[in-house]
Amino acid sequence: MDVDLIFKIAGLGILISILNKVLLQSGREEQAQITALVGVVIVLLMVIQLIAKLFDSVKTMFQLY
Amino acid sequence: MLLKLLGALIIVITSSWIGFIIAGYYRERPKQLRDFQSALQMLQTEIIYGSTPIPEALSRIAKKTNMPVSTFFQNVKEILYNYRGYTVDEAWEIALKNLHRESSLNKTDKEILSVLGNYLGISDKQDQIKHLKLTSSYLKKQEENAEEERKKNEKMWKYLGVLTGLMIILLIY
Repeated sequence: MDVDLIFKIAGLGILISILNKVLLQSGREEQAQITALVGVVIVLLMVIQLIAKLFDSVKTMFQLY
Repeated sequence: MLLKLLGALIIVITSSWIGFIIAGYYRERPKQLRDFQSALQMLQTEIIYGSTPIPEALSRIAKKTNMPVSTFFQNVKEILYNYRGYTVDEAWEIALKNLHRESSLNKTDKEILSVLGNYLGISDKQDQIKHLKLTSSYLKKQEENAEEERKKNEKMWKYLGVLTGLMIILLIY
């Protein structure tokens, strides 16, 4: 379990929020939405392994096989 | 560690550079359209008051205008002086094609300018002045459009370049 991932996600969040604001300012709402969506997907891809691990450990803890 | 930082730096510099190049295109276009308009204004003056021969008038204008526009007029003049047999129209067309690399003008702007070439130096003063004025008014309209586009896009591309670089680094770090 490393803290690096949290920082990475935080950085990504900051960058995407700035990008979103810039795109909105120049009147490109669609692209802004797409970037936000892409950001969510990227973060999800990063986190999904950890979530899977969490489920696994919950399963083993309560012996739900 | 050091190598990683160096790579990150290179990525940021490259992507922001690309962003700035694209932003530069939007910044330069209205400026060049304005330069062309003032050049056409000068050409009108040369035709009305000086009745200067076209190549001479062009070389005078080339000395007074800024970079891409001046090279264009210089180019037309050189073609007219060197390769005997080209008409103003043809020289104008060739120079416009050469202009393609260094200018930020788009296709419509060039189309407007290339139409003007057909009428330069072949008819009387009044006719030429009319066409010069017409072209100027078209260019004015294009300039307004370009200015609007610049406001919309210049800042965005600058931010976009830098931010994309940072994002790539974050993703592969």
